[in-house]
Amino acid sequence: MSLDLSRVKAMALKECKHIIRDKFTVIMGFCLPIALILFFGFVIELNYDNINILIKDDSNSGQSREFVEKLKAGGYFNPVYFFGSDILEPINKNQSAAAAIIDKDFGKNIKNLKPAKIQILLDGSDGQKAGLSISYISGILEQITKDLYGGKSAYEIRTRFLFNPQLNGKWFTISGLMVVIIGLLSILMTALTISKEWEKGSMELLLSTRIKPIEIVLGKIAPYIFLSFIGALLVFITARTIFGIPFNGNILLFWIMCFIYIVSCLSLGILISVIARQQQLSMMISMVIGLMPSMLLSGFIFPIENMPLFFRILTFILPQRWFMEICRGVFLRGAGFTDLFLPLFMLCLFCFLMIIAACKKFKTDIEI
Amino acid sequence: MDTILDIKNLTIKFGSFTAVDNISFSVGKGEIFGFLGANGAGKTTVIRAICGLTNITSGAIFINGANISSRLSFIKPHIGYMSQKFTLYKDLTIKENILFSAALYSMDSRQGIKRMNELFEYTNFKENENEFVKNLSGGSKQVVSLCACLLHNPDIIFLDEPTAGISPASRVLFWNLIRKLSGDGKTVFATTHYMDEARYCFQIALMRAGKIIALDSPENLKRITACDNLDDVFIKIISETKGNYES
Ligand SMILES: Nc1ncnc2c1ncn2[C@@H]1O[C@H](COP(=O)(O)OP(=O)(O)OP(=O)(O)O)[C@@H](O)[C@H]1O
Ligand SMILES: [Mg+2]
Repeated sequence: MSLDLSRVKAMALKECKHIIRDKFTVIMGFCLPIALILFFGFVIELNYDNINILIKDDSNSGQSREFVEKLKAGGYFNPVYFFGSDILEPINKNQSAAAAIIDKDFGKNIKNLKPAKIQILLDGSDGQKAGLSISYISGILEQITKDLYGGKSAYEIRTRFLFNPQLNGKWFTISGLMVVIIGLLSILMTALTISKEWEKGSMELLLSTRIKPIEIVLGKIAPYIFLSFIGALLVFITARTIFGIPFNGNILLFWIMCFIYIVSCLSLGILISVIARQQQLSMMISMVIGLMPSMLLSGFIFPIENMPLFFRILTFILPQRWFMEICRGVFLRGAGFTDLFLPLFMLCLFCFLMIIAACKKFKTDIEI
Repeated sequence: MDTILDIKNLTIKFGSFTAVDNISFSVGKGEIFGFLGANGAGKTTVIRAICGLTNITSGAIFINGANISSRLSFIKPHIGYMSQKFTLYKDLTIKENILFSAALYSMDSRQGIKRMNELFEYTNFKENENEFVKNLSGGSKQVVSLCACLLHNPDIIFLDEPTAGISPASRVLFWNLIRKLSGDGKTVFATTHYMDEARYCFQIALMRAGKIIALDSPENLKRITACDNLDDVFIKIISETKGNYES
């Protein structure tokens, strides 16, 4: 299959003209991401900061107190020591949304590098809050396990303790929010473009010429990369300035990965557009696909490690899941290329498969 | 006369519904072939099949002797297709639309502009090329569409109801263009609802419910049915076939 780049270019230029002349697309590209991150950022900030968590410290050791300190330092939880006998009572009475019972051997086990136990009780009536809490606590636990079992120096624990942003709940959620918003935006951008051509009948004309499905697909994606990129940049700036999210990683690496994520989501949008053939249907599908899995299965709210096996496997096909890993890794931990090879590889694979699928579906459509 | 289009026992089904039912005909080079029939008769489906846009259930279509099922990419440069829906982009100017179509046929913008000017002269099209297509009258839009499908200089042009919904004066002008093209050796395959337009055709095929119920030159049809205008011819043929169905 030979690819004629001049046709791809013509397609892309035409698409650019549509975009420039259609205020709606430009407004969507620039305003929607900022509006979303401000809205959700503040909602999350209002709702989920400073959740009271009861601590029943049966271990009463240096290690257990360190865990509580870290919990507190994040700003997401407000730990309160509990000395009564029935810890369920305040939860049942709605006085507290969460509790942690630290096993009496916690300190000893950590010292001996054995598994140590903490039991977390959450009020599940607010599912989202509970989910966010689990995800946050497991983040901290992962951190602690790494620090304590991973053989790192005490000095490093201190510095992380003071400066490591992963301990901040707000930062944790805002960086996750960035992933969802950039993804949703990119999916929406392209979801309408091909179905619009079907609806208006111009697709028939295109297909009667020599242009090939792959040329249409590539020509359609190209201009939106630029637009989505600006959207992502705006989200990034908002996250950094308004919400004060720190950035510890390599900025170039981050934007390269972001680029691949954007292309993955744009290709997903194209596939939706090819399948649906109608603008309204495309819009609905991309809203559902852009929001639901990226909220629920990407690790944004519910930690992937705690999911049933089926869902854990399902997350593998989500670009959001991989970019979530990249985003949190680069943003908060300063992860480098080698740490992020797997997610990066998965994004590229996803991208490739989406484009192939869109072209295949295109072909069979014509033959109906 | 040489044959350019040859259709043999073409049948097209959508699920259990037969949209085109075992039709055969051929069209000679330089002819104007009129394809007539009521709404839903299957005209568009036949054209789409010839242009490779619909799957054929059975039968075969040949253009210049090449089977479209196996040699579509070879055939595409030889055919022009103007679809029933208006398919140019309304938010682009005339020139932008034309250059985009030209690029789809791998012409660069210099070649595209040259072809555009030639075609505008040929069709006597006088609008400003930088006008947005949405501001054009129905007749002008159709002329631009026609030019767009003539850019690559195809041998045969498929026009699906090119004169639907445009003014009577524009219709006459448009048909003059079709005749001019035919005079210059192009084959034109056109569908229409207007019986008065059928008189310009060399051959007419009348379709009904997926079948061709009459196929001949306008003169022969008039003679066979003993009518002196085409409207009466069609009324007569259709009422006769209805009779056949009932009996
Ligand atoms: N993709 C499709 N799937 C199912 N049915 C179809 C499809 N395309 C066309 N049909 C049906 O086939 C029949 C013939 O349609 P076609 O568009 O060819 O008619 P037409 O003669 O062009 O009519 P018109 O004058 O309205 O343009 C119609 O009944 C139509 O509903
Ligand atoms: Mg039709």
